[in-house]
Amino acid sequence: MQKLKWRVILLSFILISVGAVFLYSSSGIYSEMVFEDSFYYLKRQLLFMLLGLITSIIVYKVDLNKVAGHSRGLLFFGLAMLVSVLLFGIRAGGAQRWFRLGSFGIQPIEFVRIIYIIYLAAFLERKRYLYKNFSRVCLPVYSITAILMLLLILQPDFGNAIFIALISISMLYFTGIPFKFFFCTLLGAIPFISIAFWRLPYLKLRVLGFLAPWRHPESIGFQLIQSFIAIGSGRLFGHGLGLSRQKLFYLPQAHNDFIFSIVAEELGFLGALSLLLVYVFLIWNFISILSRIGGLFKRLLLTGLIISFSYQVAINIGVCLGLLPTKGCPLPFISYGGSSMIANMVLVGLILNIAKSGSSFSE
Amino acid sequence: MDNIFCVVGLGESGYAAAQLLKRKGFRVKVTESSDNRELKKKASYLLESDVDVELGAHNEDFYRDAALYILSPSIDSSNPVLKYAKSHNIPAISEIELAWMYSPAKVIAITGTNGKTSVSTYTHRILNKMGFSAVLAGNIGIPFSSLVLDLDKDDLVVLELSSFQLEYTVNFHPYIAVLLNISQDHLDRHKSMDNYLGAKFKIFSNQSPDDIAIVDLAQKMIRERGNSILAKLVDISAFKSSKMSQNQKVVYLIMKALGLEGRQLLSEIKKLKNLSHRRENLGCVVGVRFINDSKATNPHATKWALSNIDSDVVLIAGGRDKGTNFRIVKDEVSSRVKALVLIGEAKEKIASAIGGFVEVVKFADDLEDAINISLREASSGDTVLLSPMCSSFDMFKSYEERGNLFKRIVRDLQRCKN
Repeated sequence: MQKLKWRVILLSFILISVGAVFLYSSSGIYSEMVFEDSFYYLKRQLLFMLLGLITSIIVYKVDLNKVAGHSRGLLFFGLAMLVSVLLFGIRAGGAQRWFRLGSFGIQPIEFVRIIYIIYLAAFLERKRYLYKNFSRVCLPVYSITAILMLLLILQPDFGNAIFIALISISMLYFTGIPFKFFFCTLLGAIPFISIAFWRLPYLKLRVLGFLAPWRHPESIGFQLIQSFIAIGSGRLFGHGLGLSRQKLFYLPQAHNDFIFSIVAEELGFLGALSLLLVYVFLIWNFISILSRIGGLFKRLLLTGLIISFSYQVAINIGVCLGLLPTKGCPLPFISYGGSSMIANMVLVGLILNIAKSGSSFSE
Repeated sequence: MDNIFCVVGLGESGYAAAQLLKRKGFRVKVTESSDNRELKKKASYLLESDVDVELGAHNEDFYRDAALYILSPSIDSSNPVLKYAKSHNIPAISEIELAWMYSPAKVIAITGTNGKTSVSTYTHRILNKMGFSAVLAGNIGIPFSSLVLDLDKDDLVVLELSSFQLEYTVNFHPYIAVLLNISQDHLDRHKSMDNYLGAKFKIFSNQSPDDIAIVDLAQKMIRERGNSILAKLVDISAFKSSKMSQNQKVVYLIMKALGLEGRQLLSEIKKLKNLSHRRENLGCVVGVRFINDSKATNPHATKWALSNIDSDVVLIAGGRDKGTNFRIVKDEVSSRVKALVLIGEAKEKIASAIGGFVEVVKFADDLEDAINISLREASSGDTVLLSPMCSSFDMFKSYEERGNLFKRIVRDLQRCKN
């Protein structure tokens, strides 16, 4: 177990370092031009890393059983954050998702996601003997999911709303809920999705840009096409570190959502594949931890955290490759963004915390 | 990092872009394929501030070490520098994109095949009347780069944009984007209508649902692509008003989008109808601004027009003398006018009255001849002003006809020279 923990730390550290290199590489000229400091983004990101490190150490130290006892309070806190971001948040890019703190932005959903997983794990543990009872397990979970989704759609942040739904469904699936309950979910979701498509025209455009990017090369298909060009031009070995040309201007948000394309452009197919392998190896280590710990709450919590982490990786890379509709989802540890960086370090802190208790159980 | 930024083309925009980058402390180069006295003057200014300039050719040895190319509006896809940038995957952006990176102010961007100069000018005028601090820039002849560093957060920038300027934007993101109309011109450069439309629609590329797009959905080509616009759509054709012209409607819709309404706005917009032929800015031909002040049928109007221009002026005047004293304008003429081009019956009288205050006095046969002479006398940055001081009846039916002819000739020149 000790070995597993060190491997997780090492792999996370590798990813964070790769992220720092690519952040500099993809934002250097731009930040030099705009902020007269080519290290502008890197410096900020290093600050986030430091904050993340401190928070994750705190998270590593806390007593998880106490956390489980306070899961309701945590969820209320999370809901309060989502409500207040709608009331007091700042608007950017057509959505109200951020709190402003000095020159930094905080995106509450990154933290609410973890809180929700903690709550769900604690809830499902309490109801461990009722899994066959739809109205006492599934219904409450679906209701909370619906409330969270509603708050997110109001921002609007449809991508994260879907993400929350995926987490709920996946966790219910892993607890062993009867299969027929999922069909009800699907039926229940249809009106939601139709309303969203009807009320949110940008959603339709996102999907359109994803399905037929070449029909709208200068507008909704623009990002995706530039991403394709970046990935394709990298070929097997890439242009070499720091030599991406797409990143500078052609790919808007290159240091956020499309950083994987830049990796593919600079390090080629082999580089991108290696990065993917680091993620796979990290997730595999998470799963190894899962197989060695006891206690339903911890196992459920770890399952949720693994789901959340893996989905982030899959969604981000899927978007860059054009397999999923464009959605602003950061690549854990690599994309620029304070909330995502800190939240993912907290996530790893929690996993290590779980592993800590597991080792005493198995030895 | 020690990146080199290379500006392609040394027109007004290229010159302003080079100065902007230099003021930001970067290493700058400028490459320009033509060479003349005017360009040499600009080049020598730039050389003083340590900018490398290449005139008369684009040599690969000169420009190949750049990390970024900034394109003047006149650069097209056959330009060797642009070809080099594309084949080597080096980013190339338009001067508008460059200036945009440094703009703290919100942008109102206006494009379209026809009428964009008028709408931009009107919008700028009304905004200032309504108490905003607005500046006018872009295709109108004032490069965005030349004024962007003086802006602050509460200013508004009214940008007149050609499709050439939009083609190489990337992150450019106007708060209000206006696409007035599309008709088939510039096809030589844009190869096909689809590319032309694509360039025009780039004005909406980075807009979000918080922004506003003002378009004419009655036009089929615009309506078909309208579904790719993310911003709030405002349809010009859906706004019916028998009292307003098309341009006035657009200006009104822009103001409404900014939250302005009420009587004062309506009365200001009503006044716009009379703006034609009164110090009407027609934009630039090869860096020379043209102003149509055909309504100025007496020297007082011309005196006023001249006192409102900062640059050197080539003044086109003349027509039927109404027995006026032309010496009224002598102070303004001696301080601003570098050449006087005279037409119509009153040529000699004007020449004898104020010719002594000007270095160059030329007689022209008709308005077109006068414009050609003026263009030869003017250099980049100057203004050619039609402000006749006389009535038009010796050559035209009305001052409107005189002004319209002037406008048409200038438009034709813009089409073939810019």
